[in-house]
Amino acid sequence: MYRSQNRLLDDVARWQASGWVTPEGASAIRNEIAARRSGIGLAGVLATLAAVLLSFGVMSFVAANWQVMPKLWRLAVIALGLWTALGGAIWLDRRGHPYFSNSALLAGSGIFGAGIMLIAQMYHMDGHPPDAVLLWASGTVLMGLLTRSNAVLAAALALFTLWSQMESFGYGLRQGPHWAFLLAWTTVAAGVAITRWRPGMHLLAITLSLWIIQLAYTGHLHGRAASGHLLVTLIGLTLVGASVGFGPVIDRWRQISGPLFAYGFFIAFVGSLGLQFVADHRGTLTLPLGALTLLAIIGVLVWAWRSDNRAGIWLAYAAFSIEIFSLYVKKIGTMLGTSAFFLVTGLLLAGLAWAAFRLHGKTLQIVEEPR
Amino acid sequence: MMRRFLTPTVAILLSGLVMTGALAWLVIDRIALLSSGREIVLAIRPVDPRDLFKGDYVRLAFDVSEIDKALLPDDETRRGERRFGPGATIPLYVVIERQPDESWKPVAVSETQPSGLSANRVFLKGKTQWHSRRRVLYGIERYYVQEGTGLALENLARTSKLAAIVAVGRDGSTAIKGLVVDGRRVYDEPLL
Repeated sequence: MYRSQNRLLDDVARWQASGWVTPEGASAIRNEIAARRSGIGLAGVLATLAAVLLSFGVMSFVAANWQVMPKLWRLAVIALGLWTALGGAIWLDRRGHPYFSNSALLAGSGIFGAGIMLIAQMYHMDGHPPDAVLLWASGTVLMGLLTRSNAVLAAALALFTLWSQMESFGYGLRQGPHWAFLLAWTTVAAGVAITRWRPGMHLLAITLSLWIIQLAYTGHLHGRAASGHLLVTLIGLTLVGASVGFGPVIDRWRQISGPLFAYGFFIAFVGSLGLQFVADHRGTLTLPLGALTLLAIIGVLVWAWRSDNRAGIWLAYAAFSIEIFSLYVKKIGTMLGTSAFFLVTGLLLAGLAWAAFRLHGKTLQIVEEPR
Repeated sequence: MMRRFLTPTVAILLSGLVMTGALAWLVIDRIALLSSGREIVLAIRPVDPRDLFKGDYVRLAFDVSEIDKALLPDDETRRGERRFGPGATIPLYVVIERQPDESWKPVAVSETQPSGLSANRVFLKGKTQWHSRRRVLYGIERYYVQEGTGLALENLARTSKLAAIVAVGRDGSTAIKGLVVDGRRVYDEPLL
């Protein structure tokens, strides 16, 4: 999978120079790349940003609470704005501009949210602010499902996440997990499953990962209980285990065992950080937990490299750095103890590197410099 | 690709109708409460003169926001604590009674909707947080004003006697109808 089309163009030129690709083949590949690039295009991206700006413009208008304008007029402005955006979306869709049409829909969702805020303000409603965000998100997800617009589905997911955050932390700490978010998440997931939007699947994975990680921090203990972090770690490890154990089976259904491994590792690592540095105050378990975590990270690195999982490799590198830095800051007993720990693990790792080199000499160089 | 049940045009129109309907429902609900709810006048006390004006709204605190600790029975407190946990938001109903001087005072608190109240009593739906359970929020603690005009109202609150005209619905929900300064009705809120 190529992330950068420029790199692919470089490779095509190289392959042509080496005589692996005929000049006709190379130009055909270049044409294909050019056609793909114009798919979404800069115009679509700019239109999406424009929609966001327009929505914020309307919301700021609402926040100014301009009282020269009677209430009925203000409501009329919102209704007119909403229907102008939606009418524009229909018109653009019929003229064959699906990306611009999506942007207009996004603006419509933004104006809907502004309308909710406007009404709350006009009638001095100060009930339960997350409810307003929930209503906004519900309208948006309905629009996303009906129109199958990826941009609108993404906006709905962002709003549902905001709602869940407000419910969990902003307005009275919850005793337990915010289960209702899972229902909202599933609704968005159904939409993304219909449109088969790959970036949307990553958004879903990221928001679900954050929800799982927060399991350790909800409730009145604010993450001081080890059990929450242990649960998060175990969920992450289960996902990693599923990917390692049943990768081919999962990939036959959908090509997701690689991302599953990376997200699972991310969740497990954040859980283990909580276990080591948030819950364990006295530092009695720092040495065994730290050693275990480093060992697990190295295991992940080896597996990610062998299965060509780039996200996994990079996450493992990042996790390794974060882990040793955290251990260094927290210290293992004394500074001398910390020093001994790093020296011993460093020597062990050096030995491991040598063993790996003897086993697969060539391949080690790729691990040293992943692209 | 799955077959589409709706054409894009129908899908967009449908979502627009639902959104417009939701907004209209919010407005109609408020208008119904403001026009048919029982009208009471609640005395306002300044929260904190420096904190009174926040952004584009004025923070209001009412005499009925403070609940006498004696109104919260100990048994119920402990039962509630187990159910909600510290820091949780607890929904409750506050019964207030009209005093001879026309002011309102909380006389009872319950977790279920009260019924069969005498004419000089009314109940308000509110919520409280466990660590501040003597302070009840009714959802009418913000009074939105035009950008930059909050200071005038803030000064007024410091120098005059301020009260809010509040509409109370059958289910105890509340909405601000207007403000009263020294017995004079100002800031009357039009329905639309």
